[in-house]
Amino acid sequence: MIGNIGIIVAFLAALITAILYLREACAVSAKQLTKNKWALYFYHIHTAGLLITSIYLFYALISHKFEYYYVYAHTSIDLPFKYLISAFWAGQEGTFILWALITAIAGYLLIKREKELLPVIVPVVMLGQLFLLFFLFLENPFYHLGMVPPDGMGLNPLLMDPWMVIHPPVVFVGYALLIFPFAYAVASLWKKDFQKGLLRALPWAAAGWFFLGTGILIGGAWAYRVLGWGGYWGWDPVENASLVPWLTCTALVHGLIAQKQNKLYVKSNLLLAIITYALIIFATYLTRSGVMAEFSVHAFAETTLSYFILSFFLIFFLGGLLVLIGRYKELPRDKENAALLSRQGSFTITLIVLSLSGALVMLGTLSPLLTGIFGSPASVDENFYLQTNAPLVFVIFLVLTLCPLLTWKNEQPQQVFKQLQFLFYIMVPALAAGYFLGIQTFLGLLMVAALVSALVVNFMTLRKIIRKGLLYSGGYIAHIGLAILFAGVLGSTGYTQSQMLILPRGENVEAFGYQFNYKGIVTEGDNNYPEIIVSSGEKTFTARPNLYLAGGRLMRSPAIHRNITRDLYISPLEVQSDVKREDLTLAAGQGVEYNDYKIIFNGFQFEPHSQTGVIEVGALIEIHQNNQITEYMPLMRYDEAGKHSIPVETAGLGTITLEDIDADNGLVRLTIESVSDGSGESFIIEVKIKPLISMLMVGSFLLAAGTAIAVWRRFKN
Amino acid sequence: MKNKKLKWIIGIAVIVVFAVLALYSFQSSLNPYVTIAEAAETARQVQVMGYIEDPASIGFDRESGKLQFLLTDDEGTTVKVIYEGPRPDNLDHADSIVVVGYYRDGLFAAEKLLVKCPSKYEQDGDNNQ
Repeated sequence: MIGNIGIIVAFLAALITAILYLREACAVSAKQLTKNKWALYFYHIHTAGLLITSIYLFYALISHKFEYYYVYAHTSIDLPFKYLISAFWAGQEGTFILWALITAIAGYLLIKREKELLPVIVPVVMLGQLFLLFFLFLENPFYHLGMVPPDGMGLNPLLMDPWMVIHPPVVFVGYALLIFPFAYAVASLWKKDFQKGLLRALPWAAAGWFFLGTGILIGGAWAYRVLGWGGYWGWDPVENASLVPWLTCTALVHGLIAQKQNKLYVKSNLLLAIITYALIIFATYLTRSGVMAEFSVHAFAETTLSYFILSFFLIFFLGGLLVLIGRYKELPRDKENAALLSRQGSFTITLIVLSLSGALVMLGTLSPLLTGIFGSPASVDENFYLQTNAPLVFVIFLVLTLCPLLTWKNEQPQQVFKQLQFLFYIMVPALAAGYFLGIQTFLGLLMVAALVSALVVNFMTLRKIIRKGLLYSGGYIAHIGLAILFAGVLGSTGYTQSQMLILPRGENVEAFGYQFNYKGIVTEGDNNYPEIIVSSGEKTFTARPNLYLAGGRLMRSPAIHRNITRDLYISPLEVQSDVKREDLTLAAGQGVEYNDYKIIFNGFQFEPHSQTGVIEVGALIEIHQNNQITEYMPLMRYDEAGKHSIPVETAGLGTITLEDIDADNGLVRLTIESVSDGSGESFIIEVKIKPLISMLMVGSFLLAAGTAIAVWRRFKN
Repeated sequence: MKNKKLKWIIGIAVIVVFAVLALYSFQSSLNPYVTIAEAAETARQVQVMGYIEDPASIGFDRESGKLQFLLTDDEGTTVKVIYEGPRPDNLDHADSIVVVGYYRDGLFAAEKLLVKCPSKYEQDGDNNQ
């Protein structure tokens, strides 16, 4: 009840706030701009409504109010506290609340910083909020079950990972912040403030870009640590849907920086700001509406919202484009005096390449829908993404090599290449090293050359720049990070080795220069750790992958042994206990030797049964071992449903099952299933050698850190 | 002026070459979604969506070291799928499975498995009420 009141209050307040600010926006001259206190009051009420809803949902989660479907569906009594928090965003209702709440709170920073364009920006932001709140009416987080179940269904076990606790909120901060550049684009078009006004979108675009990018990196880390297939990026629609707006946002941030320096790219920036946010809503549509449900590994929620999210997308996308087209003739044109070899040229190429890459990834993602229009749906595999993006990545690193050496004006090619001469001396050993490490294709070496050049040039420039202060070094750190990250991508995508191993218990199995010795399962609570002693000559360690039951399912989590040059990635597949089956057909009085035992069939025995229509026939079995005789009687039971075998457990020999009876000839068919003492047990694993994962992590960290520094700088001035 | 013309020509040439490359790559990496019967008739890589009706059919063949199971599609055709790689979590609880690969000699050799989980996975194992 309280939660829903919060949603209604937030919705109505958003509507009123939008109208009050809009009235101000329509004021003819700047002099008429009166400080409208009421508009701000209603903004406070809007935030308060969202806070109440969030706090109440949070309270319901931590106090186990299972009468709410959301609490019931995503938590259970035994769920640890940190996962009770993350259950807030385990379902789509919670993510909409989180998204709206972050937008509302970030709005205070906007209100503090922005004055002139605020009356236009706030209504645009509120329109977004109205959509999100409207979704909450349809998919209500406080849906009442009408009774109180004793326990909930628990959190999806795959989500129980520290990285997964922070991944969604980080992504949603990115989503929330990126409505501001969109709103700035619309506001600057309306108020014809294309230079200074639009430029104030830069800190917001940079901040949204940082959070979205960091969220994507965290998602990759989670996939690598938890999912156990050994990868970090699967080109799945859900992943791609967040990558595409990140690419366009990267273009936007660079475009805005160029605009700030040299008044360039006004049109592109407006378009990119509009498209980036439209793509974010489109990502929400793709992942929530179920249109991709047939073509993705990810689970999708119910589809009631599909058309509403689509209209959210269309209104922002088409609305934004219409405003842009309406003002198109009044937009300033770029000066066309710069040659390709100039800083302007390198920015132009960057914007084109990033947009192109985004378009290609989108094309691949939508391939099942696009081909579905013309016939049976077909989707591209990851080769498409790799083949089309590889040349673009190469171009980006060429640009990153040249850009730090260029000024905005035209450059003399001789001058630039003179500065690059020293690269030649580095390139020879670098390429030789790459060649001996296994990169032996021409294109592979070309990529190595581009990466090394970009890395070295940016590092040299960073050394000079950092004297001016850390604040100005963000770009170079991010570019160095990007080069290192792609070195990791190149190594781990192109040069992963993989082998399936069957490890009989206690035996040494060799692969990739390691000795694997399976020691048996160690059980700790719900976790079963098959322990493997791994030795590689000088070093020995114990690898403990995990097989555990969660939510009634067997989950497998990998053991990763990290190393600077390469990771050893062990995915547990299956523990096979060595069951021996023996089929025996015996006549009455006949005996057979089996292992150390002697088995004798002594005839049938008809068991009287109290129930009518039920007959049980037993086979009298004698087992001799070391002069000890034990008698067993496996049964065959006949009733209306047919015949069933009732096996017996023996001491030492395993299970004896009566398979068939031939009463006329006095024959029985038995099977003996013996589970040996565990020495015959074997553990099947897949071992992967993944080179340069450490570089991928270092690169990711530097990229995120560099972006964070850039955000700090843009907010500071 | 001459310089500008040259820039355009180079620009357009680059775009055309890239567009052809992208189109070619798109074409060659397309995997159509087909039924098992259709998969049997083509030599190209395809995707088949189906269900595992008998979870007991999932297992490792120790000789070949490959995962295998029986997959049944919407038309009711069943095929034995072999897959060299880790067994995905929740294979036995999957709503449906998409296998990507080739049909050869009565077997479907999968290069990739996409396991589609129930959207609210918890419901299937829940007996608390």
